Amino acid sequence: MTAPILTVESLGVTFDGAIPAVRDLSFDLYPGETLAVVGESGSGKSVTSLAIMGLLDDAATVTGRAVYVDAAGSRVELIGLGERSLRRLRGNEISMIFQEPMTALNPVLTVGEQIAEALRLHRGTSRRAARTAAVEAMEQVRIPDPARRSQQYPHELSGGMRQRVMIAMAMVCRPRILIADEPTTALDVTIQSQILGLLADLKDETGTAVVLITHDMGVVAEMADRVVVMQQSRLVEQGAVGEIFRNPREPYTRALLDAVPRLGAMTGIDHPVPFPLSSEDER
Amino acid sequence: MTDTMLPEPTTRSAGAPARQGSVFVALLRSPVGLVGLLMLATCLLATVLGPMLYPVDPMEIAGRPLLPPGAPDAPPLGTDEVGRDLLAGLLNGGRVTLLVGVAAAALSTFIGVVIGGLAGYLGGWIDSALMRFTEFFQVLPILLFAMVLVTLFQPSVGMLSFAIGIVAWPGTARITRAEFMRIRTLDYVRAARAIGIPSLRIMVRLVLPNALPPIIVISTLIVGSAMLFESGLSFLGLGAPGTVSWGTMLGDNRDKLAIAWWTVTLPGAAIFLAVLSISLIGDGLNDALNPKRRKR
Amino acid sequence: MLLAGLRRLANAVVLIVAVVLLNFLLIHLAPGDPAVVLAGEAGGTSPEALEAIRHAYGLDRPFMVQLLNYLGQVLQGDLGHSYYFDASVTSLIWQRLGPTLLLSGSAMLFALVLGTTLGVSAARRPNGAYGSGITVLSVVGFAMPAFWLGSLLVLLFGLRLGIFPTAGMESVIPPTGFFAQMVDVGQHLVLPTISLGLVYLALYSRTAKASMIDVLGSDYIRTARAKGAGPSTVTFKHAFRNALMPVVTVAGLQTGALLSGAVLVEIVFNWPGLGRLALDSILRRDTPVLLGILVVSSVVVIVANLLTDLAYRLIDPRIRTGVAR
Repeated sequence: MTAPILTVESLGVTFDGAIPAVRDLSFDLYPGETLAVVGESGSGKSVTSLAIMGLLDDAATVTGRAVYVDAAGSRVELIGLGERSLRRLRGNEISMIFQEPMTALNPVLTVGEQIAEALRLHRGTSRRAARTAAVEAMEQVRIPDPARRSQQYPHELSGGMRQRVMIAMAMVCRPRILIADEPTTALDVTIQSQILGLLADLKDETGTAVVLITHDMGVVAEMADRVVVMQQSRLVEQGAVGEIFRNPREPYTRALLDAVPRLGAMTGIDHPVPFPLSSEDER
Repeated sequence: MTDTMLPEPTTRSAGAPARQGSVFVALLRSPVGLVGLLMLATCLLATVLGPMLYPVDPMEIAGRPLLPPGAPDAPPLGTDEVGRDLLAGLLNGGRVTLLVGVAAAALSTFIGVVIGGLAGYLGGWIDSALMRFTEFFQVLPILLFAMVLVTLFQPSVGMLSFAIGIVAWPGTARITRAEFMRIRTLDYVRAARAIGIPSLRIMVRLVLPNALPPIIVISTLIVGSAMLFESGLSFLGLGAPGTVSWGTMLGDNRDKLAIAWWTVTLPGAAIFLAVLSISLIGDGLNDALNPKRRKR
Repeated sequence: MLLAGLRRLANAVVLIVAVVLLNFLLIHLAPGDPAVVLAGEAGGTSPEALEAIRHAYGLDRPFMVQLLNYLGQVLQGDLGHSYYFDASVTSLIWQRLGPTLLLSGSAMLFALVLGTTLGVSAARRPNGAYGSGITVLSVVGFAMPAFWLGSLLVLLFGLRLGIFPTAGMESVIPPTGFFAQMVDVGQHLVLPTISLGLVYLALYSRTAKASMIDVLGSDYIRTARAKGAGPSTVTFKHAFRNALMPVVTVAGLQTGALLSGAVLVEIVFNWPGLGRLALDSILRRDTPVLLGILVVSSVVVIVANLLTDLAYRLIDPRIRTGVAR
């Protein structure tokens, strides 16, 4: 079996010294696979990825290890890594896309410029070459009329197109890991499937390992190879997607799966049935 | 000359303060506000009690002209160019300034809230028309306009307050409008309208109390502004005749700056401290009423 | 964009007309005979003089006619006649307008550039000594009366230390040569600019700091950092323009106040601008001049607002391209 490209060990994140957002989290990411990190809101999924990339501010204390195997094959400890070195990796070998395409792009710069920036930062590409590459990148994420679009500003594009731009921006340097934090949650359902399809295709083309953070089990079923289930800052269960869906071991995992509405589930019942909420006193 | 118009509303009300009392308490807890309150209290005490404790007529000649503070047989803070007691002048001069400040702020708050509230709540062409009107007043250079008013109509404390109040309201209007527009869309207002409560009552009883926090803040700051204004006008010699105000003292003695620095520096310091105390209170109120946007 | 620009222009014209109308109203609302008002102290109160004024201004004609007459006059550049100075108001104002604009412009520039710089740099460490210092400066600077500050600066730098000249725009015997003259004016410009600009410096630095802090917390900054952008790239390329917007807004709003403040500062420093003219005309009750100054300064503010609008469009593409999604 191939070695993992990222190994997270006992990751812990605490804010303002009091509230633990992530506790004792450990998982592996293998090259080329799609790992889904599932859980409800507030379970600590996004914080995990921000901690790995070193994007949390000073109010957060991060403990544990996150060992990444870089392009040259050396093992790099990401937690506590110097800002300079982290910057070399961000957007270059490890990329991230966020949930809200509306606000995640800078309103005063053209989208082409924002994509090109990634190239200029990491490859030292010239302005002109980067511009052309940006248009190509937009073509690869299937934005129609990319040359004209690249000169437009974020507010002139639809939500789905903006998310494609984000993906283009993240993938343009051919990263080895892509962290996608709820990439489709803010989008319409039809656009969702397009974006997910796009991600799957890109992943196949480039061999990028994808960490897909989501609360939607349907997305997990469609995209993931392996799953990590989080509940209220802790890891609850992890395994191959098939296993998790067929034989969920933990009650919480089962509850998550049960929560997915199924066609025909209301047969014979003429009123909504209450369902138990996860207990709050597990902190 | 300053006109305090806050940038965009940096205060977004988190809801109406439960009672006036709790606002005051919250203000006391804010360090900035506390300092401001203390300073203001000192100012007020000095202005109100001072003349009683130091019963020297500021208009009377108290000694030789231009005696520096500390000179033998000079009053505590020296004398001005005519020989009047500077300390008496300081203690008495604040009254007019504070009075005009408060009166002008009250007037401008009233106008601003009415115009802004109507514009924000009613919207449509009323909004456009009122905003044009507001824009017009924003464009007029305030001091010049006040100067014109004071020249054409006789200067007096009332006239001064009126002249200042009638030009200082645009800032309040804009903030009020923004708040009314925001609150109007909230559910409890919608519910009230659905029941059929007349608009005027909704505006006054329901929207206004919840829009108060930023309005209170800016009104406080306008008091400071108006005081600076009044001082400016007095400095130019346009103050109410027969009264002594800090600005007048500064203006009268301006040409003696080189040889009698205290006649200019001290009145100015008084203005500065008084306005500063009001600003600090305004800041403290902002903190108190708006915990989300702590001034970092 | 052209359409929006034309609309703004039309709006500006309407405002100017409104100001002129206001002037007209003021003349007539003032207690006493408008002719007396227009004559001022120096115009004399003899019946013949008043009659002449009445005729010249058409005061015996119906109201609307007068109004249109006045409007027409002003729009043609005729702001009336000053009896004290015995010159046309327009020429009087024209002579003094330059220095006032120079002072106001310098103060605005000083406050904007320095204020924005201080505010933006303070945003990086809002609670450190530097950041808090800026906040203190803003609060203090805000409360300071410009005329007091001016006097203090004159006292300290001019009289005691003798570094800067304390009055006027040029030395009594101006130096020869263009460059030397510029330097001379520049030296005279320093203290008045600081006196006038400090309040706005305080305001802008505070606004810039708050705005920058806001921007630095936004999602697209996080994206930029996730891309691997370093602190200077983030600050200058990404954050700065976005943070600039509120500062421009505030600066635009304060133009009227700035011009008013210029009046006071000019008097403290004996600056040969509109301030002195305004004061003199008040003392002499030379109403036409005062009203003329009001109109002209309002126009300056309106123009400044148009420029602010233009600045918006340059900075924020969302406004440029019209309807945002």
